[in-house]
Amino acid sequence: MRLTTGGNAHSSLRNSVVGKITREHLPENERRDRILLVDSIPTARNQIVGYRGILTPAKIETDQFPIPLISSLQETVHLRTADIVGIEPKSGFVRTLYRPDSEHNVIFATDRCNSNCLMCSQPPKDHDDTQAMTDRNLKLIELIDSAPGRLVITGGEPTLLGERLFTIIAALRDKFPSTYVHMLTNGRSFAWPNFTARLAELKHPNFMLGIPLYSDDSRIHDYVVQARDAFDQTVLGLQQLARYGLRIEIRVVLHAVTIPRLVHLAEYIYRNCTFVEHIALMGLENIGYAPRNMSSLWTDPYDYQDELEKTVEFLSTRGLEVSIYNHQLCVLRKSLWKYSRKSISDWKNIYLDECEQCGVREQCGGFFKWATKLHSNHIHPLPAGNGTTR
Amino acid sequence: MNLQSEGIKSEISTAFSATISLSANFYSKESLLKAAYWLSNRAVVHVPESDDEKFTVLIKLKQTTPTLDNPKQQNIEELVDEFCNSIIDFELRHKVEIETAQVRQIILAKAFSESGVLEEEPPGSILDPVEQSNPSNLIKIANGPQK
Amino acid sequence: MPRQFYPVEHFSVAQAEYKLLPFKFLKLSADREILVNEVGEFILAPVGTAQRVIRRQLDRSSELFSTLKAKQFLTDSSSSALLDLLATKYRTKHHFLEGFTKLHIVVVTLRCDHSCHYCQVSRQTADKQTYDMSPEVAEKSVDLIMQSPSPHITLELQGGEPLLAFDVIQHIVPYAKKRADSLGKELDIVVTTNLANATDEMLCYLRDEGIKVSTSLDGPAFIHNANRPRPGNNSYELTIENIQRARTIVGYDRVAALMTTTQLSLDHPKEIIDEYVKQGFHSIFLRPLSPYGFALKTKRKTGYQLDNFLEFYRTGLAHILELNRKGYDLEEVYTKILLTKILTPYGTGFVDLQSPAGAGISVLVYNYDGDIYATDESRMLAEMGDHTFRLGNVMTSSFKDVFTGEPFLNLVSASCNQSLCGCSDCAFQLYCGADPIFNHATQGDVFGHRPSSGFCHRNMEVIKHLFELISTEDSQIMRIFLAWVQTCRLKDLNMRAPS
Repeated sequence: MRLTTGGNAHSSLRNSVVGKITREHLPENERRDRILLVDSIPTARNQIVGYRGILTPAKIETDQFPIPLISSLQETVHLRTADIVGIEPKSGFVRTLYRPDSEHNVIFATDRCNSNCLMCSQPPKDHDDTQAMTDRNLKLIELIDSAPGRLVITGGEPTLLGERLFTIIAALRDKFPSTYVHMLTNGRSFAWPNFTARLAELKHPNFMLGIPLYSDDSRIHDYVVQARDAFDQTVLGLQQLARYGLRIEIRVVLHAVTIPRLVHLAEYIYRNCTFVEHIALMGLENIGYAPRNMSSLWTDPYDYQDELEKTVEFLSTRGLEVSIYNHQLCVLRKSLWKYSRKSISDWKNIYLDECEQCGVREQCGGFFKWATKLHSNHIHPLPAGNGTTR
Repeated sequence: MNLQSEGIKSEISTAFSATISLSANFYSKESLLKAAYWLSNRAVVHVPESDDEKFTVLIKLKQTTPTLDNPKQQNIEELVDEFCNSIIDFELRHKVEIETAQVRQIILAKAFSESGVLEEEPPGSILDPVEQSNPSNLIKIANGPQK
Repeated sequence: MPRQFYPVEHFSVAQAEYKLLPFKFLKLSADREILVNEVGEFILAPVGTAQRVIRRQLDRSSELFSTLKAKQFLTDSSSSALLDLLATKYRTKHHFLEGFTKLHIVVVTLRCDHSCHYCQVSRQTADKQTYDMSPEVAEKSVDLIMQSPSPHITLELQGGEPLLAFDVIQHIVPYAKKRADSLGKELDIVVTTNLANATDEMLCYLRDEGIKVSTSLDGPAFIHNANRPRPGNNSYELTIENIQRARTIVGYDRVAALMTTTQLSLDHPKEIIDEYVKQGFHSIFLRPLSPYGFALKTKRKTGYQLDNFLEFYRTGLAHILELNRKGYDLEEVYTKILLTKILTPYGTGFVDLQSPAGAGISVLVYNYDGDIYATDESRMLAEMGDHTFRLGNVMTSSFKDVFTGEPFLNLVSASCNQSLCGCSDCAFQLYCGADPIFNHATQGDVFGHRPSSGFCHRNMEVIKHLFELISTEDSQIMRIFLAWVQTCRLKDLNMRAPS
């Protein structure tokens, strides 16, 4: 599934624009914040005035245009009416920001990050986009019509927005209080209690933080996230968040660096973060930094089933909720199937050719779309009637 | 255990008594007292001599004949072994106690203090390269309280 | 342009030496020792490990070093901020202290129809009305109880045989409920009874008032009847019949059974446990022999032999584990209390095995005559003429009088095992407790003498036994153990955010 495309941005598009796609012509009084997607530009001016922007795959020679325009748009099939997009001047990017019919919508806070994880799937960019992103996200929230079931706030590191993050969360709280908001963060900023207090003050009724912890050994965690003192800060952040009654999920990406002490990490979480609501054990994504660092990271999931089973046993027998994400059922031990979730976002979810004959394909979460390049050596179809996952 | 090493020398005097010589360079009075305490239901422990160099310890079994309550007679060699091992262990514990006395106070004080009173600044920095090169008002947390 | 990546060495701490954090150690066997940190987290390691840690002979790059650091046995960080973690964990371990006295035992009458050999209160015949609690004393007791800061109060109605003074119960229950309601306190009520005199009306009353039943079941008939004589010698048959009736009327889950261990019991752990299974109970408490009261007087009949108890316990626990393996859920309470302290971040408020001791701090007893005692055992001592632990009387003592009076202060000075000889260095300190009243009764002073202490020896041996089982790494045993300790969850701890 496609989320970006591009074309020629005409000079009428001076600033970034956020608007809602319409593939049908609308009466003038309904065009506010709408972006018209047409195969060819209507000739009459009164048919285009009032739209926030126009997108077309057609080739438009003249640069002059009364309203923001992107022409020669490469792909259009994925753009549906009511999708919310962001269109960029200069680059001509058209980025889908929100799809009303999807459960996997994301509020992207910033490209900035104060960590630099070896396997980061969204590598940081060191330019200050915080104001632009905040403007974009607040406009996005304004344009969303009906409350989504859930939203994820991610980045980069969202807390680098500082006070602007709280503005975004407050906007979500006020407009969509029943929407479950899951924020992915390294948690380091929360070591400072005043920062945590600010988040707690917002009293968002349906909010959870997803925070990674990669080892009980501070040196190893700091190495994975490539930042000194990150372990101490994250652990202290977890304590402060719990103190202020905020809900927490801990995430662990499973690879060659995190697997050896995984069971120890489980014990660490149990003893020091007993308040955690959920633990997600996640398969590695072969995107972003991961391909570059793969020689330090790769281990076939089939080969770490011992550690995974012991870890899940440790946590579940102590009453902690645990899930396995991004793993295929043919690679997981049977005892672990009930912890496996179909976790991969629709737009990056595929199955391989081997999966055609598989009897449990429906229950299996499949792969990331970049897994075609790298996946377990043990992928094979399973016979049907092999029991169910949740 | 080699009873001749580690600054302990022992000598069995009779079937029910023994003398132990402890180097004061290796062992403290505390360790001696604690080891002696754990023997005190089975033996009498005297310290007839002590100076800056050594302690002389005399151990006498309380029970010299088997009784209905305790049919198995205690063996003096086993008791001396136990006592010497015990002194070494208590000396290690003494070391831990001295080294950790202060931090233990801090932990307890933090555990039962009013929240916030004994909190310290978290270690390190959370600045990313953008913030480092161009400090803004965006994150005041690194430099001081936000509110 | 992407940032530079650094190798793992770049994230090592520069410091040359590490600092110790508080911990204790103990040799468990010829080749194994246990190290326990300030909050009860443990490491089982080869003998000599503690010595290497203390003498700085550790390999800094070893897995052991990583584990010791993660579990806060040592630190090599220049920042002391992570001490906050130890502080939080320490507070969590002692959460049971919050709210002060939660368990309040009210002796509604001393009269009883049984003549149990081990009974630690004098038995009176059924016609001695002087031994019932008067309404005035009952109300004054409740008034004092409600002065406890705890938002949750458990009221245990005891005796003698409480159902023989049912009118007292009917007076005290509504009074206590009204007082608790007005103060916004939660109130749980349980009555400990042999059920021999329980009429249907009484059982209906208990059901309607939400009162739980705790009864005595010492084992199969030959043990139960031998321990608990009554006219007709049919205590067992009556008990079984009444348990069914109570379950039907009051509710299956609201009827619990406790056993009292006697010399006779010690030879029959499996039979006793099988009896509990036969009666459909899912909890049994292999309690140690009591050294108090009539047990001291009638030593020949009940005896007090520690090693036999340990054998009884080990055999009993093995049998219980086997039953669990075969699919019957049965928890053993003594084990559960210890395992909660060993395997979880939490402490337990079991008054006989906590530090500071439960006496007064966690439990108080209000006798039929208004006298206030620190524990049920101190009441029993009083029946034998020893009033050391009488803390006051509800008619004349205020809350302040009770807790600042000489008897309580004397008691409390020996209540923390952190400062008791023998306990102060013990690796099992956080798993064990202090029992100054036991010390007083068996050894003559509240501090006690550890090397000859039955309390010490018993708990050390039981705890060692549990570590032996834990170190087999048998996953079935661990699952069973962990299922037993699941009852305390963080959400039950009433965590508060700062105001």
